[in-house]
Amino acid sequence: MRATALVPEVVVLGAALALLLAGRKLPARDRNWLAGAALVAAAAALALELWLGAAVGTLFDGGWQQDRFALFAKAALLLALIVLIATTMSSTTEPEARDPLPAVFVVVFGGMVAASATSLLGLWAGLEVAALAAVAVSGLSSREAGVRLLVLSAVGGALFAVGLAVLFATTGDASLAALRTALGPTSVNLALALAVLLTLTGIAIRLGLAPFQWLSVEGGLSVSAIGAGTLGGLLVGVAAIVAAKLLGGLGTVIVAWAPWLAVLSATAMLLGGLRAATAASPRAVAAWLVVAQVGWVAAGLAAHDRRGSAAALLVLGALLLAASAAPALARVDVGTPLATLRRAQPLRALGLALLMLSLAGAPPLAGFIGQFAVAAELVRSNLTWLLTVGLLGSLLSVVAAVRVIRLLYLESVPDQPRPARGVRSPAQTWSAEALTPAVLVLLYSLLANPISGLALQGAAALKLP
Amino acid sequence: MSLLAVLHVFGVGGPLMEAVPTPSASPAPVNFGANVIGFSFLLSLVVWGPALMALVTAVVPEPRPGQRRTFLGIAFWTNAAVLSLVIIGYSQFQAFTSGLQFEEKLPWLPSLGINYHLGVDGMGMVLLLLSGLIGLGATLASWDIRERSRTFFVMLLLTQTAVNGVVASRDLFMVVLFWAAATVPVAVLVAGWAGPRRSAASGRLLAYWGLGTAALMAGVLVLYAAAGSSDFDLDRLGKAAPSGRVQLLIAILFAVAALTRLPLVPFHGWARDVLAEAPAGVVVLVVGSASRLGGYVLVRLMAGIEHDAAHTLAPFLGALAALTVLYAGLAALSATDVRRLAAYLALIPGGVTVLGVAGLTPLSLVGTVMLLFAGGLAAALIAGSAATLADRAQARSVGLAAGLAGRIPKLSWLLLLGCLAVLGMPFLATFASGLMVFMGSFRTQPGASVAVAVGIVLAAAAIARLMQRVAFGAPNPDAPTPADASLADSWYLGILAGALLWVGLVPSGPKLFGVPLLDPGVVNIVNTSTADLASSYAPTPVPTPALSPLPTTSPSPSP
Repeated sequence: MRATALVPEVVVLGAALALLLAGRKLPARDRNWLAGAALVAAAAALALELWLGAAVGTLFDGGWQQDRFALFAKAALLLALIVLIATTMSSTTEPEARDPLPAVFVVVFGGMVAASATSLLGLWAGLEVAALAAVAVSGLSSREAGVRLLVLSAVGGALFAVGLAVLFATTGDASLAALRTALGPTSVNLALALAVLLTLTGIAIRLGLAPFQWLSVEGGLSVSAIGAGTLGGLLVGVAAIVAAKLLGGLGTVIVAWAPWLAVLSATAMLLGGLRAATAASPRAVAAWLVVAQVGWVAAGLAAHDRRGSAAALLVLGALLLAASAAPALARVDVGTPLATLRRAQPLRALGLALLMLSLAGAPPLAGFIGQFAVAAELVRSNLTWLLTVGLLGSLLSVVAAVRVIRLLYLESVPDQPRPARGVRSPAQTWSAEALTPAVLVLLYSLLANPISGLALQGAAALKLP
Repeated sequence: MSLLAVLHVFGVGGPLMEAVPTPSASPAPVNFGANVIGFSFLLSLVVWGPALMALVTAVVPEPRPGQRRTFLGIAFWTNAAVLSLVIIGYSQFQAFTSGLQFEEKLPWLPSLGINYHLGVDGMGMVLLLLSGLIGLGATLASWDIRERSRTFFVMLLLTQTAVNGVVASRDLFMVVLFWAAATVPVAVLVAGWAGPRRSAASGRLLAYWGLGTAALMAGVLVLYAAAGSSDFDLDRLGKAAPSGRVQLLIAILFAVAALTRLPLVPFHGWARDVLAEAPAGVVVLVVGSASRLGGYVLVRLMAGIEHDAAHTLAPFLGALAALTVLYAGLAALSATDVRRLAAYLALIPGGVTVLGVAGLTPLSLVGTVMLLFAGGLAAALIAGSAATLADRAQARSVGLAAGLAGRIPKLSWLLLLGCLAVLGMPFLATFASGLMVFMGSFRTQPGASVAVAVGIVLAAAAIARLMQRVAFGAPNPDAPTPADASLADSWYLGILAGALLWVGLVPSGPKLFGVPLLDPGVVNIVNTSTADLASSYAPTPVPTPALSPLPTTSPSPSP
């Protein structure tokens, strides 16, 4: 394989460095174009990934692998990055959207490293880089929240690292392929079982899987919109990528832990739906809806077969699009009713409504397609109890989404004082960027065929049964 | 048969006799006007047209103050166009031909076994016609919606798409998709424009319809897994033969889905508040077409696929049907609110529909399918006219809104017509269909049939009380001055009443010198497709013992 396959990674890392340097060196008045440049860089990286990433192969003596799973994962992350930048640009003040951009690119870079990793070390490095950068993004808006998130992230990282270390000590090899062959159903012992438990719990914290949702929900609510989008969208995506790769590597051993994953996913689906239905602010609703949909991703992985993982990837793509953008779109000033959004920014209001419905799994949006695919696999895998819990959680999620739609469209907007003669009343903002994620969510449903095909090929690359 | 002969005198016996399913299709008579216009994508237009126009409505700039009916206009012309397309399809439909017509099939998600597969048989065509009529009626009934009209008509059009989608879909994934898609817009319509109890009404609707959606999805997935199928094609899954217990589970899940939507006791918790609180347009849409989908799923999926389990569940369904009609009759008798009374009466067609499914005979199933159409119109007429009457009379109490026949004659008589339609009076579409249901069900579900009949008698008493006080009683001097139906009200109620009368008078379509004219007849269209579906329930002919040849004895000589 030629080294040109690494160009998308180079572009992402280069963009991060360039944005960092430009932010430091340029005078404040000349920095306004940085967000636009970031958007162009992300779009270029996505285009390059789709072009160059289609070639399958390995580099660095098999230490870096480009397969269909990596292609799917990197494309999803880069698309989420574009959505995050576009929505943040359209809905927040310029410095708030611009300053954390280098770190956001580093989060995606960490995810790309994990997606192409062939060993435990690569997975660990990718996840830790992404997690640290995500915490940095959050810390830029609130130092207090940043410190808290750093501690939480460190706990997750520590569990994950210890688990990986024990796995390595047990098998004597860090490569995923070697793990797959070394670990069989007969090789389960207490140390291995503990290692897998620690590893899964460490990932669950990063994934925001209930009851370990502090990072994505409690953390996400106290930081800026771009920070919340990074924690609840990009970092969750990276953690899901790591989980999928690791579950593929752990082979048949994971079957013993599938019930643990199923319980976690059931808790996430139910708790996420329940808390979303009772949450006070639209941002909190969005955050809990993300938790519920992460539950569906985990449910697909718990089926632990090729089709289940493909369905999980399908949900993950939809989740990344919606979760990255929702915090920015749901952001309103304190004391301002959400209904003002309908009048002031109609496209943003429409986009928010569609994203909420997609996160809730309402048809015909992307979330529904993915969740239906997972549901089909749950029935096929005799996990009907999990399906029942998931459907109940989805019902609660739809109630939550309808609550937001009601606040958006059915509450009356307070009358604004009539402007004085000669003074123009504030005009409606028709920012098309705000509608980008909603359009992509709709396109995701329409183009579900090639996407699900790629997801299936990606799951096959994980060497699952 | 003697009853049929009597009916023939009234001009309805013939169609009924024709409606008894025959196993072999007779040659299709060519309708006058057939094949004048042909569409290969007619169903896609009917399904997605309203959704497209909903998108247009959502993004067009805010109209000027003088153009406040812009959104109503978009919804009206969209529904008029959809109804025109459906009428074209209906008039070109080849009656007496089994199989799908206007079929469209494209791969959508082949890796998941999901196809974009649309097509209608007779049952689907008739329900699309119902949906078209109801959609136009609901838009006209919403003439006075001025507050947040953009959102209102977007939701109305999205609901229309969902209803048409369920009927036209031949892929079970798409059935689930459209079935679920109706929930959010209807809930938003109720939450935004219903009366003071709208929050509770919307919440209950979401809960019940959500439960139904979950049940339908689970049923489809269990069927898919049990069949070991690689796709969700309705025809393919319909041929699967899962084990008895799995079949029963699937049938129960489908029944729960259907009963939450129709609705039937004990899944009726959402209906009273929604039908009594929502504006007339929403009521017409919900009770006229969206809730009829429950009956459609019951016939198409439960009775049409799970034959053995349907036999097992039939007594329970019959009991629930009886309970619903009795409950509706008793509740209507004690109701003092015109809209609530109408809401209870609107439950009756659903109960009779389920009785027909419980009957599980070819005749009762044909009657059920016809009743889906006629019952939808009747329920929409009674609930819609009561909502409009309460609005125009500015009073909901039976005591306050009294003696209206002389002052608002149009609305009073239309309300009476709706009441009579719910009771299944002759010359109305509900008569023929209701009679077929009763005749078909009496032999297999005698107890339930009698109980339903008793419930209808109770409803008749409630209607008599309603009309005696509201229409023909002494006017209440304290009541506000009522206003009769506006032009839009007259049109929407007239469309519903006209369709009920048309199908009641000429169920097999008008003929000129024996040649069908434009309307091939609801009975004819329903007949063949339902005959296919109901053929599994046809009584097996009792084998006649072979007659031994007569002894060829020579006549004995008489002594």
